[in-house]
Amino acid sequence: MTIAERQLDWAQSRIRQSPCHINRASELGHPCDRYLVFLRTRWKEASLHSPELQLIFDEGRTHEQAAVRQLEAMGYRIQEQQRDYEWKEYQITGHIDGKIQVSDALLPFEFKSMSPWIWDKTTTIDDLHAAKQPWLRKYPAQVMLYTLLANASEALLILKNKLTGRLKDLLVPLDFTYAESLLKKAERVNAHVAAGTTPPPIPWEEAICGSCKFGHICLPEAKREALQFVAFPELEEKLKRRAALETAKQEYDALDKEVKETVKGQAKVVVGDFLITGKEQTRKAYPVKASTFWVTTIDRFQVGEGASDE
Amino acid sequence: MSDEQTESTALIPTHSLADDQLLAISDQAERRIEAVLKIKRLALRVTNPHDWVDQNGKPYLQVSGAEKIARLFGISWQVEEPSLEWAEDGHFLYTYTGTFSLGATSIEAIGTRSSKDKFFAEAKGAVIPPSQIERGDVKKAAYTNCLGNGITRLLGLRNLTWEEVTAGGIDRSKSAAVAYKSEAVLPNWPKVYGADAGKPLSTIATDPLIQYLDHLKQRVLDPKAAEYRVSNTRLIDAIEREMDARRDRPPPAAAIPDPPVPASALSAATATTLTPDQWVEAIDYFAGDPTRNDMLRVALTEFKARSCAVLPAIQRLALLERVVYLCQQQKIPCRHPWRAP
Repeated sequence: MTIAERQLDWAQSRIRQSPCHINRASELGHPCDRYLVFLRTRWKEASLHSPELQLIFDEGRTHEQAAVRQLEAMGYRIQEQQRDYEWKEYQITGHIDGKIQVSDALLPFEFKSMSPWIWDKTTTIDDLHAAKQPWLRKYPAQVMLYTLLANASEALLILKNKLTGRLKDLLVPLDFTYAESLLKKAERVNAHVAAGTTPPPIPWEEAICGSCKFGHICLPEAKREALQFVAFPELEEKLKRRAALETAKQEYDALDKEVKETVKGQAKVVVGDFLITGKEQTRKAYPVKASTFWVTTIDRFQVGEGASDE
Repeated sequence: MSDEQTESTALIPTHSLADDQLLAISDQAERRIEAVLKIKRLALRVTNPHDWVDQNGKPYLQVSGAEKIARLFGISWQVEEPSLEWAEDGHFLYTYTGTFSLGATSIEAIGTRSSKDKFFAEAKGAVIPPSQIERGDVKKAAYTNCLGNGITRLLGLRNLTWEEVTAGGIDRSKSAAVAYKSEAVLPNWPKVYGADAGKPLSTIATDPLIQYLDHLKQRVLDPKAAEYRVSNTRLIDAIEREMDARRDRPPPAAAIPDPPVPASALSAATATTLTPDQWVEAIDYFAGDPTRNDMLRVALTEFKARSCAVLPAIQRLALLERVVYLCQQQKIPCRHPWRAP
């Protein structure tokens, strides 16, 4: 057995199903009430996550511990690490990662490590509200509930880039409207749990329902738009020609870049039959307006012997 | 102006899979074959070696891969609440039924898992009593089995060979491999299974195997046979696996019958007299005997040449897939296999 295989076995052995009889602050941001009710009433039936995901969770904890040590080394005072809170009225529990002294304030903070590209894209709490990944959408709710539980007016969300180690802190002020919506959600869940009922499934959302650990008991209707095969000979010819030129284009781009780097700063120069001229130009700065645009990806799936183009 | 733009650039669906009667061969067989080949290539493109398992030498697509494929093709489904059945020995069986659809085409699929499966009932060589087997684990496995069955059956991805899968860029050596320690056998009940009683499934001819499958499916629904439901369901699974595997596997030597069609009948002069069933038998027969590749080539070539006449009578997409595959193996051009010469 290789080290890699043994690591997965080890991770597998550490996956546990934890009882859940209360609303966890870390989960209440989930968009599906049915999921939140199942978490309370049928937690035992949830599908276990993969060993690969367990390793990612482990990495998160390792990063958190390292970051806290680093913050302390930087001179920050960290208190009340992993302090538990409970709000009986709403049946909500949570434990903050700690409180950090920033200026005169002692702010509750939640630490999250993330991939470089997500870290780069996340600059405000709104980015997390709007994230495609459902787990990211839960972070704002978690921090908001910690703010409420800790009776604070704001909290810090500290994000770490797992590749570079860079930290980013987002100050999250108490948003009463959002906090109210979370408490209402907790009330809805509590009512269903008390009555022994379950809310209906949400309309199918791939990112949420496609990987839901309660999929086998929720049984939502999976609705997807069927892939279409279209006949458009002209376009097909263009695509084939485009594919044929791809290698040449790559070579051209690489050579063009190399040549231009070589003659950079030369106003006029002749090389063989080629006259090369250049001049310095200034790029005007302008703000990029927000817009919606369509991204097209062309991927050729022709593989193997059976794929003849004639 | 916008109308003109629309007219010049619109993509016109020809056979949106939404309209495709994939399981019913029609006069549009050529496009169907192209669609099947495209489906396979596309499906392979989105999977990786970890989505495949080498199961007794056959590639088996795990549900992780099936779900990726479902997302790509836009397969919808509605799975019903499962049924739970108990056997007298305390073992239990979960059955999920689902409707899987791709546009206008829908199929029903079933997923079952029993606590008797070795995966649940054995650990490190020790037998785990049914009372200690987690029901939820069996239930989840039945659900994923249903999804895998529905997705792969809807797209006709049940019978790929390793040649096809590796041609799609999947490295077989990186896929996990499992081998069944013992081969599935029919129960030793001569009254039910006659001379085949007690025999390994792989040694039994296809026709009686299909009859046994039908019989078992009826028995599973029969309340009087409830106590045998678990074992019958396991046997159904085993027979279906064997049927899946059989199409691409040469029959065992002992089971090879005499040539169903005389070699001379395959010549151009008499070939027109053969029925579609005889063609199927001939092709399957010669494909099962590596020493008769010459005759297989003749059979395939003649079949292709006359396919316009026989095709409407053939109701099995699987046969068309098979012929295309064999043509490729034999280096017989098969881009337009159904066009008359």
